[in-house]
Amino acid sequence: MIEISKLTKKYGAITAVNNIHFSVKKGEIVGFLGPNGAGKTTTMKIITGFMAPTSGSVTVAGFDVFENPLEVKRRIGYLPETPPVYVDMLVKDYLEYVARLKGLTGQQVTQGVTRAIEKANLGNVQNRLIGNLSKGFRQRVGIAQALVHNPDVLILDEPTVGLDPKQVIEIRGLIKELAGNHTVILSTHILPEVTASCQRIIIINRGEIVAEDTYEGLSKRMSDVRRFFVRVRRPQNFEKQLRTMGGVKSVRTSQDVQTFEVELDKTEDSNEMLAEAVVKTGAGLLEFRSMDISLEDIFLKLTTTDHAEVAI
Amino acid sequence: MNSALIIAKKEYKSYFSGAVAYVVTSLFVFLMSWMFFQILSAFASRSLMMMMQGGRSGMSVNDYVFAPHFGNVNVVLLIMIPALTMRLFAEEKKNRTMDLLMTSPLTATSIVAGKILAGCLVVWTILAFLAFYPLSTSLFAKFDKGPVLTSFLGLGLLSAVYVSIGVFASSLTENVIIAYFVAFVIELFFWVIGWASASMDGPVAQGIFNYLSIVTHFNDFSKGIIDTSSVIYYLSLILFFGFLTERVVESARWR
Repeated sequence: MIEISKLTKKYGAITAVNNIHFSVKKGEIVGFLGPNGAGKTTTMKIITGFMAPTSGSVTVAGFDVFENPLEVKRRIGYLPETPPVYVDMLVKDYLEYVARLKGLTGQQVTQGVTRAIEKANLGNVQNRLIGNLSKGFRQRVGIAQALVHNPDVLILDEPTVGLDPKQVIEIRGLIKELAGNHTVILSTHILPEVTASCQRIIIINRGEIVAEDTYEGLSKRMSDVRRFFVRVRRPQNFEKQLRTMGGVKSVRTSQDVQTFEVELDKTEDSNEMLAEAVVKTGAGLLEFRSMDISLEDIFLKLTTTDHAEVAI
Repeated sequence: MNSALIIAKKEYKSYFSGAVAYVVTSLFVFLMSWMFFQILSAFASRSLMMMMQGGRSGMSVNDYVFAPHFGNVNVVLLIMIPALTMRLFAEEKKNRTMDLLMTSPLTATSIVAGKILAGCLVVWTILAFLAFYPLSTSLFAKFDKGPVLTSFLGLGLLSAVYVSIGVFASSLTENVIIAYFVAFVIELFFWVIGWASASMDGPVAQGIFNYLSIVTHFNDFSKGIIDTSSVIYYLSLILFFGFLTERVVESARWR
């Protein structure tokens, strides 16, 4: 449904997106994950035809975004970071206006508006001024706006920002519901979001794709590693020992230098080895436990270079 | 073209859904009424004086009432229209609603056409109130209807030029104050461009600067002349600034 190849976007000297390629199949929900400023929004804007890339190509439903922008735009519903709402319009009038802009006519307009209001759960506020709505409701109006012409492709830039927890769950449910009939790309820097609603995750950092897999695949990738949390009273010798020990993948120390997060190769005796090191160096053990590896860790690992992390 | 009408309709409505159109119209009518009354009473006392001196009043209502009146309207429009048009693009950019237009299946041309059309319709609605003055004057004075009608045609075209300049200025920035000022200065420049003809040698150079002046052409209309070259001049200015705006809107993709 969406094919992106060799996409690069430069803002002057700054490269926002650097030679990325990926494709999204019909009916798939893809989570676009990355820290702020990673190039998520830029990529999305390029897919919607809002912005032209410096080089590379994007096709949506077989149409090239730059040769056939109108055909592509007819098939895309886009929710930007800031919902593009007019504060001086009623919710219903606004959605009607959007429907007409997207090329719907006559009966289709009313049908589209009714459906979008129902899906985004805006029934109670449909005759209110958008300017008088709370941030959460405005966000929902933004989502309704993206749905109004029943597009094949939905591009949602941080769809759950500003919503309360109940609404977040509702919107995630709605996004899941859309899978199958619609192809969805959603961006977020909130991790539970992608685990909750996406089938596939693309992690982007500094304009480059650093990982692309399913959630299970990404977790598996990390499962050859075990992580331990160790807190000791006298860290000096212990730290030296860790540097020389075999099977240690990484060590992260915290501010007070007493706590360590140690990653080891997953072997039978890895627990034992570490425990032995603590005892041997006379570090004075305070705490020792094994840690789960979550998506957060994968994310941080892929997107940050922490100065405290010492690769061994 | 259909999408231009959708945008025009929405913009036109939004002028009237808030206070903008009502405030502007009522203050505009108040100001024009005051000015018109002053012109009319000055005319009345002067023609009375002439009649008392023996001759019959040879002063024409067209020349001494309507010509200065429409001149005044022109000046007020010059100041007023940028204020009406300044929000058309600047506000969309500031509120990020431009994203909606840019990702909808619309061409930049139809977006710009819709905006200009909306601005023109609002200004023409306000101008319609000016019909009150000739209608009420016709109850108690005789005058030639022709020049009044051509003046209205001239005002209609001229205000479209101002709208087109205003929309262009608005497309350049997301700050409405800058949009206002840029539009005002461009308009004023087209007013005073004709002054250069006085310092030019030779009839060709003088002719060019006279032709470029907005005022010269408007004077024809207020005399009752519909000169094709004037109509073409106004239309080409509208299209020229429309074209520039289209370029600006389209270029947003490439930044």
